[in-house]
Amino acid sequence: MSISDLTPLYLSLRLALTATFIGLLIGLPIAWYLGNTQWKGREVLDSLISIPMVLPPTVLGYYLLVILGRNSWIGQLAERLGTPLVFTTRGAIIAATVVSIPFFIKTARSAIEGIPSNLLDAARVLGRTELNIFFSVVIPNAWKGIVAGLVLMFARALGDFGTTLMVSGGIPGETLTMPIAIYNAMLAGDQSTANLLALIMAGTALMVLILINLLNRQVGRRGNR
Amino acid sequence: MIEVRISKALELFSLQVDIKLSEGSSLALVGSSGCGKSMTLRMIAGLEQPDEGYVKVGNTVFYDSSERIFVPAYKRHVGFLFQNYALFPHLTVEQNIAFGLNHRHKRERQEKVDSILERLRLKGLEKRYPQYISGGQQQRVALARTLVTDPELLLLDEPFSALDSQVKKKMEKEVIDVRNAFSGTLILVTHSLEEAFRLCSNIAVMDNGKIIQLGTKDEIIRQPANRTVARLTGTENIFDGTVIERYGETARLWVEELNVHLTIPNTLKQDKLSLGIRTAQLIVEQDPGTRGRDPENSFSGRIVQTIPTPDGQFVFIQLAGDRASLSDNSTLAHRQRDYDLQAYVPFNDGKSDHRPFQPGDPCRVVFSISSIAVWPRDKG
Repeated sequence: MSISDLTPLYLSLRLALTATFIGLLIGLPIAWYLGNTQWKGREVLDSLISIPMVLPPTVLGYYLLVILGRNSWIGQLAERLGTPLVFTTRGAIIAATVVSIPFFIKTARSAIEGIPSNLLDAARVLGRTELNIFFSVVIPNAWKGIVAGLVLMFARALGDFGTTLMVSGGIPGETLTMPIAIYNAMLAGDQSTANLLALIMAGTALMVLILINLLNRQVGRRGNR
Repeated sequence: MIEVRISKALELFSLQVDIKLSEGSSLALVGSSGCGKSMTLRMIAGLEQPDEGYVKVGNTVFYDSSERIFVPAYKRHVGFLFQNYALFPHLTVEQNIAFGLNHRHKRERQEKVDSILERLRLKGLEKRYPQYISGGQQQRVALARTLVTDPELLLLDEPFSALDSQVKKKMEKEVIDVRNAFSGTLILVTHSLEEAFRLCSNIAVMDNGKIIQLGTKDEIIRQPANRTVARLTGTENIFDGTVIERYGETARLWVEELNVHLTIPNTLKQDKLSLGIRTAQLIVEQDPGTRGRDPENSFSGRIVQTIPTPDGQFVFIQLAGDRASLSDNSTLAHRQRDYDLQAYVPFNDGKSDHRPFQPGDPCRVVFSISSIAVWPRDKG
């Protein structure tokens, strides 16, 4: 692999973006539900969702392999449909999503919970349905927290190594993401490639942090008024 | 007709409310904080679900546990004014007001918003955001946002508690104006009797999740049903007594605490009674010695303490006949307070002999029979 070969970068970006998009679709309704419900089991559900944050990535990858692999019914179903999951880009996306979605759900949940319940009640008595309130009150007042959660999720998805490697290996052009490429370059003694890729990753991380800080500061400023 | 009969088990007590209101009337739910008055309002609006009962407004059933009917808040079309206004910070004044009109035609919506902006003197603020207007203006926007939807029932949840007293007076006037123009029914939740008095014709006093008295303003003030109502409505002088004689219109009551006999209205059969008299109803005169006449229920006493107010003064009085004043120090030590009565004496500058009371001044106190409220003594 030469320095100019930035396929892993594009692949990583594509995987992380896809994972973030899936996370938004799945995670936002969950965050909304968790932020609104009085259901007693909500903290249990929240804990279950947070498991990927504390589990070692390889362990998580192992369980994903078990769940998605050729011996599970999910894996067999996927195989029969002609879309095998493990050792494919699809598998890598699933791994990245599972690893990173808790970051989004937790951040979005606290942003949604931060909306005064008075506002939601006011919208209700003014004739708006819950779904309407979600788009007309919840999103406009919590979007900064939601975006911050997405940025965090994207960063986590971009940087995943262990889980992706376990689930999808490191197939060049298909599942060989940046972190894996860095590891491979180091193993092959290709310091300059490792150097460049690591620098790009570090730069991305820094940008993510700045973005989140900006979002948080604006959220805080609004709250002070 | 608005009929509410609901119960709900809360953490500290169970809420049981039974209210019937004729259309177009106004009711204040008064009680100390945590008595369940706001919860009652929320259940009427459909923001909370009762455990049992029914809520009917006119011919519409909002809730009926026996028929498993629960109409959600968004379908009830009830006006609600929240404690902290609950204006949407992401919308302008205009957009806030139009929030409840989203299903209306665009032209109609604009017309309605314009007319209410005019009516509540909000012209010129349309494009501002709620955070950038004053508290009184926010209050008016919240009112406009509710009234623009033409509700038949308007619920107000402590609407003035966040305003300072000057703005509050103005806003209350505003609400009275709106009230007069508004043909629907109004229910106000407040801990302030004064607010209830200004805005509503009927008052329900709540305590621990129950309505302990419901009546007109006058009834609540003049005929409190028990000690709690008397206390909550601001009666400071409350004593227990025993009827010893009855003569037609009046009765003779022995009040041990004050060591006096009082003549009271003979309205209750019970012999063990409590009586209350409001601070402003008690007549306090200076210089008891110089006057020859000795009207009924008049007692000589001494001013113990005074508190000045802009228009008068509160005076604390110890009666001369009271045992505690007979220099019995051991009794004095056991008493919770060093005065018998509390009265409000407005300044009467027109009188030539006017002089504010000073501690130590002798005085004469008169309980006018018509201003004495009596109720059966609480058991236990």
